[in-house]
Amino acid sequence: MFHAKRLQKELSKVHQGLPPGIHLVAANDFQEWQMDIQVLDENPLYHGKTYRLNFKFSNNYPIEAPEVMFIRATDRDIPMHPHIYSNGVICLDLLSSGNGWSPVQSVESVCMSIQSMLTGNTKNERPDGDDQFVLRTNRSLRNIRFVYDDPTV
Amino acid sequence: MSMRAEELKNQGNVCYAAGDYVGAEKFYTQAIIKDSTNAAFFTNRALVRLRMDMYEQVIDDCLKAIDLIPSSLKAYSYLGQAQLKLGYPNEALSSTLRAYELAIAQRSPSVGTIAATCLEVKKKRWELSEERRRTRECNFAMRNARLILFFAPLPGTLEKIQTLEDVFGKAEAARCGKREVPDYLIDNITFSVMLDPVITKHGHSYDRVTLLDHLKRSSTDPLTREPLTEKDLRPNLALRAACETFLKENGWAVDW
Repeated sequence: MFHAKRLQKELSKVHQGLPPGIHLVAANDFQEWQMDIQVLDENPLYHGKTYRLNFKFSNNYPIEAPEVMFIRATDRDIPMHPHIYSNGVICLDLLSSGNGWSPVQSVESVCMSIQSMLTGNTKNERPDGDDQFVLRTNRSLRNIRFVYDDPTV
Repeated sequence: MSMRAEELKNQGNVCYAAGDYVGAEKFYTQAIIKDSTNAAFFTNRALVRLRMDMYEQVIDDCLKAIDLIPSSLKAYSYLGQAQLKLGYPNEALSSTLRAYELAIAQRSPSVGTIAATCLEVKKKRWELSEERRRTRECNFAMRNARLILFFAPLPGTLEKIQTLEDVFGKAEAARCGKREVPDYLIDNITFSVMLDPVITKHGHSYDRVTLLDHLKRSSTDPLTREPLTEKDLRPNLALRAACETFLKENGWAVDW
């Protein structure tokens, strides 16, 4: 009900400035936004690269988590990470519709969490079973139930 | 031959749903003639009259419904809307706030809409008082200008009036320019000024309606993620008064 008003406020805050390495690409409506993120330290896995995130908001945002995934575009690939599938799906507790999400989170704070998830990673690999996962998932993320077996992420 | 009151009301509902407000109003009136003790007949007629811009009659119907059922959420809600249309924002606010309290107590699904209306009424109240203030100040400035012309028709008088107008213009601009809401009045979920803040056992305050929405999904404090249920919430009266005072002087903040 108030999702447009809340996103409008997030947007005006975004226009005032974002943390380093986070940029707004497009926010043409209150359904879908695109953001670019970069890892700022010398991590060789991501150095000099930019990645694009797609945010999808339901009318219940921010009570409900947004659907967030990496998307491919010109010069934008899916980052290698043991919790990021090669179709862009991100396995992050914060984005799960269970108790991970909190309505005080925002587009900016989600971008920062994903940025730091990349910063801390040293493994140049995909999650186990990436091939099968990519084959059977469509883009409806809400029904995906992840098993969080790694408490460090 | 003659229809029962309940049937007349149902006929009215059919008309209302089809957008035939004149027809609906007639049926509800006939139902009331048959039975003037049913509050629903009055609230239904109030709603259709609200659509027909018959605001005085809406108020009559709502007051009758409230006499019959003092806890009538619909009656207070329509009453507030009619009072607002007629330009009585203070009365409208107390009716709408009463509707809000009833909606919370009755766990009505329309509580979100009613909360939004409360804020709209506060904005309207501020707009009306701003309008009055502007007229008052404008009259004051004009009178001063005339006095200067009358008592001091000397060289340079026109310039003096010009200066006076500049001063008023600047004061107005300063008032409009300073549009900031203190962070402590802002709900962390909606990012808006709070209407009815509640405080959790962890000391954080949220607007009641949205926090209850969140608790339906997850029994946690959104900021600390500690366990939290509706029973742990207490009204934060001091903060509510602060929000109320702020909106009284800064009605624009409702849309901010």
